[in-house]
Amino acid sequence: MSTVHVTPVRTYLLVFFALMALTLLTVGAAHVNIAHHLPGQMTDAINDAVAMAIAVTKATLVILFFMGVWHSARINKVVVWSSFFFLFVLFAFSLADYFSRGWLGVPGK
Amino acid sequence: MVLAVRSAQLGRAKQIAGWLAATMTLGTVFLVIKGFEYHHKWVHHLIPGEGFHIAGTTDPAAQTFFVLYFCMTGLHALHMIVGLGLLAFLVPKALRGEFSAENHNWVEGVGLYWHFVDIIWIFLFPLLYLLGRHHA
Repeated sequence: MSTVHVTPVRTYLLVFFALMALTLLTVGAAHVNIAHHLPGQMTDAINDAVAMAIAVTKATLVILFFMGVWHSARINKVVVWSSFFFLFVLFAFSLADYFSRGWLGVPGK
Repeated sequence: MVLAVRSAQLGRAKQIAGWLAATMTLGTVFLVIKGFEYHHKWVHHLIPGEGFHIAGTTDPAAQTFFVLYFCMTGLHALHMIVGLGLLAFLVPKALRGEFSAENHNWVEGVGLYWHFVDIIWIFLFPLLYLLGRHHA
């Protein structure tokens, strides 16, 4: 741990304020029906997608800076990003079930 | 929390304890707010079960939402209580000067755990409090 990188306080403050700004943005965006303001036929799901996109951005900032992945060894980056990739795969499989359940008529339902 | 880790990397023992205490204070404030929120749900009959009641809807999905709400926020609060315990364990260690620039894996490790709990909240907050709000 002797070659550890010490991040300047300025970076942490910038990340903190970015996280706060994104929190305000996601709260603000939640009160707007985004589909109404876009051309074409957009579904309501656009609001959910925007909220999740902001959450992913915030999580990425926390992982990169607060968890120190930005300045860590390449092997650590491989482990971290592949872990999140497989977590995403697990979520995707679970959600595929929820999304597709209504597609086929179930007798007796 | 990151400032405690940074102080540890620089071997500033007193500062580590100070930042850890600051983290504990903010964590406790969060849990107290959660406590008020739970009490509010209790007063308004939003605890799933026999007494559950929302004016204007009999949709069972409403109860399902509150089951999820209490499971998710409850588990998150439990994680935070564990985190506060770990921080409380580190403060006296830091004050005794047990951490230095060469030896502060405890602080780094608890920092990683604390930020993992943080990330969970980053996702829970929009999922539980914000989605569907544009209909209201």
